[in-house]
Amino acid sequence: MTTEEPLLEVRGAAVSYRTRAGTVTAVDGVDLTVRRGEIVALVGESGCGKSSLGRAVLRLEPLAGGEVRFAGVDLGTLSGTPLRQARRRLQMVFQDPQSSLDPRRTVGQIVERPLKVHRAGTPAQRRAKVAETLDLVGLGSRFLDRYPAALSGGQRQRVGIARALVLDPELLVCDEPVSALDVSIQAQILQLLLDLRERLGLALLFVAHDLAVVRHLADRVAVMYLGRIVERGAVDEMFALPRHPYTQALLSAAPVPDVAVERARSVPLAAGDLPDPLAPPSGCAFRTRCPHARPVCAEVTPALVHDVACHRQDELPPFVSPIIHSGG
Amino acid sequence: MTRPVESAPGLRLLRPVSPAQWVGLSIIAAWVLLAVLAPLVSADPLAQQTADRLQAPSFAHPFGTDQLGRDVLSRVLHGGRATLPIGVSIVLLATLVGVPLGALAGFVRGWLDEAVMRVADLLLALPALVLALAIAAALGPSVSSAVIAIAAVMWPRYARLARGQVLTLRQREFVLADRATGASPAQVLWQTVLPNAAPVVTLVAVLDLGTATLAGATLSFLGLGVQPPTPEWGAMVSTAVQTPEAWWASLFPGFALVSFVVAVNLYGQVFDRKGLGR
Amino acid sequence: MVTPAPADEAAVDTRRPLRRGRRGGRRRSIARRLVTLPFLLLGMTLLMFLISRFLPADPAVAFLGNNGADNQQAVDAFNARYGLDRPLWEQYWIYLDRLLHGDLGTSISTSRPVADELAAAFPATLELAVAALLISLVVGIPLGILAAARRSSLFDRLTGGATLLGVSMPPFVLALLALQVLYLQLGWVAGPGRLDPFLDPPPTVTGLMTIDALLAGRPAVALDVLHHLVLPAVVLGVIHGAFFARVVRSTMVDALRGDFVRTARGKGLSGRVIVGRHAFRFALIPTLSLVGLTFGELFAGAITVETITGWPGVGRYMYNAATKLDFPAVMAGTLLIGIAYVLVNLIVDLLYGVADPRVEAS
Ligand SMILES: Nc1ncnc2c1ncn2[C@@H]1O[C@H](COP(=O)(O)OP(=O)(O)OP(=O)(O)O)[C@@H](O)[C@H]1O
Ligand SMILES: [Mg+2]
Repeated sequence: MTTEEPLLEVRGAAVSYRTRAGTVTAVDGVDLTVRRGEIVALVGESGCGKSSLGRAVLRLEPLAGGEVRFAGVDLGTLSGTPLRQARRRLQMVFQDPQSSLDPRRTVGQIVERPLKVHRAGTPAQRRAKVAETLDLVGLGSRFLDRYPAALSGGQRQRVGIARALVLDPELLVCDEPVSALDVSIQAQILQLLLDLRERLGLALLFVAHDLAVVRHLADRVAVMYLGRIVERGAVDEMFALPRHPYTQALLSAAPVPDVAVERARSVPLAAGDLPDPLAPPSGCAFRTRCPHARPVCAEVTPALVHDVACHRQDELPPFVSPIIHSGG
Repeated sequence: MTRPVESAPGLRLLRPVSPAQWVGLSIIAAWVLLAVLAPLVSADPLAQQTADRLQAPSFAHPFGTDQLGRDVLSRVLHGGRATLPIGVSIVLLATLVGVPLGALAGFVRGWLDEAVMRVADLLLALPALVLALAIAAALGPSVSSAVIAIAAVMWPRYARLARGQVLTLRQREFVLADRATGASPAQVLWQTVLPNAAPVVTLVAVLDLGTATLAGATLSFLGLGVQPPTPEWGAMVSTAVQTPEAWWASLFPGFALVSFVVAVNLYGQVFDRKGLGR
Repeated sequence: MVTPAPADEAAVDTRRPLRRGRRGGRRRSIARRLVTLPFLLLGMTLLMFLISRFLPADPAVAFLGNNGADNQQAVDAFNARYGLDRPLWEQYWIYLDRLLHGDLGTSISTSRPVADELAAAFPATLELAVAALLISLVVGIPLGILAAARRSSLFDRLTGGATLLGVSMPPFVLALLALQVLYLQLGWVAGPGRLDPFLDPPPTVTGLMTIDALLAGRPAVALDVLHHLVLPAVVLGVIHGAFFARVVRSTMVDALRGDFVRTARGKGLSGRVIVGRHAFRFALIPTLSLVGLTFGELFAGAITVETITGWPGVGRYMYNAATKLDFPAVMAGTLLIGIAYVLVNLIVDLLYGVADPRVEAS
């Protein structure tokens, strides 16, 4: 990881939706990079704009500002065939394995679809590639003629991964690929993604709402709150020493296996729900739930300084992570 | 029509589930069969026997004869060969126009959507049959103008239906996923979105067969569709109105029409209750 | 006959079910209706203009008939009058101008102004439509309520079958059947026409002859008109009564499953009270909202029913015009029915909007 050009470079990305009630800025000036073969996790609670950012990376959602560069090319300047060609190289695994598979296509047809769209290979070659990819994700060819309705959640998510892999992409955007699954299946899918990175040198932008999930998966983590990145860094550092009050809150909210630690755990740092994205708080968006908020937080929006967006990052009391104490 | 119906092979939706549906389907099948076999099983519907005019039902003429001495039973059987295909053609034409228009409107939105839907609103704001009458009259009386006229007032229904389906479906993640593979908008619409809208559209189209058949027969009754001497249920009723004393000449073709429409509605009842279709 | 289109599916923003207040929504929709009304009417005239301008092979023949088209002078006059050689929008403007001056063209078959003929026929159709509507409500609502109250009973099944037959019945077949049975066989109703030819029609005030006769203080005449009205009104009324019965039944069945009924049951109210007091109200609201739509079907049904029963309304006029290929008359009749339908719908919705808060508050 030297001066090599990042595979994905997101700069100042913004996504907004116009609704009847007003404009929601779901993503508000996000910077993010993913290098080749790297796994970067994007973490934040529901509604903070993770999926919006993920979709914007694939240009499935128009950018309201900023740019997305893939392998040095600004995707925003592409359209038509070049854009479709670029899409071969970055693919997405969707949040809901149930609704992201076409109910009217069989597993075989679903996985073959990207190849057909790109007119890749002969029918026989395509069939071979589909079988190979299904093997890769741990589904045999006996699933070829099944419809999604006849699959379990974990199987569906494997189909979703196979569809994303069949074009041999360099970057996979995984939008909470495991949050809809049972815990036991979650581990299997995570292991599968790690294996794939190992075998294919795949880079991953991995979206999650739960820090614990990404701990053993990601190289780096970016924490998002209401459309902005509040903290980012290497995964081990962040777990050892979360510096933003929101990251700290997320860590103390993470499920703790040890009962004793569960009891001793500090009171929840963040009370209440995510503020209304239609009318976000002034200044630091997190101040309404932050136990350390000061008047200045309501006035000035904190920028990322040393990878943390907090006015008081140098004054906060030291954080004791329950997970560290439990021994991982 | 709260949301597109789940499950893969979508035409499963059309499978009859209740006894009433089976009855309806059997009557429909019987009429179709009779229409197909009419030339084999019945006498010449055009043969006039001036001596036998306006005979009451008898063994020789179970449905009696009309004012030209033609056998009403043969004419009723042959009438299905005109009435039923007209109903099917109307629905086919209306869906072929309405579904692509509505789907495209819902998919690309913008001015096209606005334009299509305003035209649809306008057509739906008028009593359908009256407008169809005007269009058929303008086109001149013939089978094709009757079909075109009724399809012209029916397509907005399918345009709205298809548009609604597309609007719902385009929010679904698998459509987003299809775009993410690099599929072009046209590929997404025709190959992924529309096949998913097909079951509901087909269901509604099948249920509309009754209405369409009725409308076609009504235009023929009004002299704007099938022309004499070709036997057609609506047209037969129309001719027979002039001889009210010969009730058989008008009521038998009338009952044939009613039985077919009842059968379609009987078959469709269950879907009505499920909130699908209408 | 052609069933109303399915409601538009506004599934644009599923995440945010911004529930507007029911009443606020209705009021807003009425305001929107008022705003769009002129556009709708204008759109209808444009539609009629385009149909008459582009669909017939030769507009001159269509408007003058074959005899008229042989007469070069008449053709020239026609072309000049409609400006057929001028730009399209100018032609439309001429058409609109004529419409606004009450000129609907000249009937080919009678050579009289279509406007006069329609003016004479329209009140008869309105009279018929209102009578049919009253019959359909009086028949349909109680049937629907009783069927819902005794769901799955023999009575429910029988009405279910009968109403299915009713909604499947083309008006012209039922009209023929009724004519055969009620008039020719039983002689219970008066035959074709609106008034016994030996009676003098009352002076026209409202155009509705029953009311005019009463206003003129001639109940015998009113009774005779009523006697003639029974046949077509019952035919249309029964068909739409079947429709209302089905609507009322299904809304009632849903309503009886609803929370408030369970609450009422919990309070110890008897089934009959619940049906009578609560569910009835809930069944009535959706039914009344369909009244406007029903007028479209009534007007359409009037074409065949008036023809068979000899009721001298717009429907019979349209039938005669259609069979004689009297194109100007067909077009004008369609426009009239279209405008009447739109206005009736608006009035029904306005009344409904006025009635709604009271219904909801009680
Ligand atoms: N299509 C849309 N139209 C309007 N608003 C939207 C749309 N998609 C997302 N939003 C809004 O944008 C914000 C961010 O949504 P997004 O789906 O990106 O969040 P998320 O972090 O992925 O949440 P989750 O964990 O629930 O998936 C939310 O407030 C959401 O309501
Ligand atoms: Mg999401």
